[in-house]
Amino acid sequence: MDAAFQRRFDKTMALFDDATPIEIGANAPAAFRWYHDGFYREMFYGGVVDTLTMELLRYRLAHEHGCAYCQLADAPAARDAGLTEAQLDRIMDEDDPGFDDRQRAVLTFAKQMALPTMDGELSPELYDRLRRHFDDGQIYHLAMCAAVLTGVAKMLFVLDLVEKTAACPVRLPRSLPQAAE
Amino acid sequence: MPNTLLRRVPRAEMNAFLQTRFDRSMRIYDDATQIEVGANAPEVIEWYYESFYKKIFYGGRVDVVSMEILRNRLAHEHGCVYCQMGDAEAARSVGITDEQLDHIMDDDAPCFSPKHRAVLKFARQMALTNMEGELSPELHDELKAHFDDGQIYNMGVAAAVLTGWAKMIFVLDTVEKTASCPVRPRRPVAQAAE
Repeated sequence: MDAAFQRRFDKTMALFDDATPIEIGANAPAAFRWYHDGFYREMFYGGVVDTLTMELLRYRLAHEHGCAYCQLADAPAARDAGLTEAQLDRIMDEDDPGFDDRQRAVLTFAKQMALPTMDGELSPELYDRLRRHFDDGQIYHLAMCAAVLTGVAKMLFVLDLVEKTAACPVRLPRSLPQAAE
Repeated sequence: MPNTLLRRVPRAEMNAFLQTRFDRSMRIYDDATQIEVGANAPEVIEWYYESFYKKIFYGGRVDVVSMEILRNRLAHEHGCVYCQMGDAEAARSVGITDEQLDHIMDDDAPCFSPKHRAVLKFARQMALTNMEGELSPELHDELKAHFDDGQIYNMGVAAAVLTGWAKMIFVLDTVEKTASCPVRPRRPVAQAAE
């Protein structure tokens, strides 16, 4: 690995005691970097939606998808953005009063965008709730970021790069051991 | 037809790049909802076409025929009419035959080479609906006969973004779907024939 990959490897090892996604991504450094720089820098953090909202979206998706790796990795950034421990604990409850109306609308939207929600939709009711806080460009931005995060979750599971919780909807036929929820 | 709630930006308000995409969509599908809605956030839809497609899909480590096979299979797995029509045109332009396109859902069709059959099987694993998707040792061996692990990873990232994108356009209701589309909104919408 080059120096940048080694730094990411060390950081990942410190956090998870495992760096499989980095080791495998290093087979195609340009594709890996595109995700971290092209997507994260330009879209996720560089777009027209505030960071706290983006972290809320991402953390909910990490739990919808049962990605233990993502949950661990995303929590520090979520805290840095201002989400509280109580909010992180209640991330799967889109009606929880610990979230404001805006955040509850984002959580409900994240649920629609999650892999297992095969009847996911932007209903008129959800659209009205989102529109009180976001314009259509921001909603489109949220959707694109959720799309990439959801697709990458699918890839992480198919390539078997991350530890999953019992809630993970993608179940490998090989019956690998699952982490506790 | 798409029944999106997001604002449709008129062509006259689009920049030149999106006007070109709008005109292509109208030519191929006689509908450009996808572009009209994306134009609410031009920097986002342009990122998809300019960053993802240029750097990962067309500019990565994998030959374009394999990528088009991957994409066409996913478009059929997901039942996206818009994707199927546009992707078929691109597939033909790189030499994929009508016979191959007709058999895109058949992993074992003899009109595909062993390399392309392995790509079709990988696409099936990556599809939105496949909740048991995996790169099994057998499939990895099949792919490794034609691709190195960097190329397999590149295909994984491309399939990931295409799969996530499919989810997005179904949730936002910006494309026509076939009857086989796995994402079924709760409110009734018109479906195209399979």
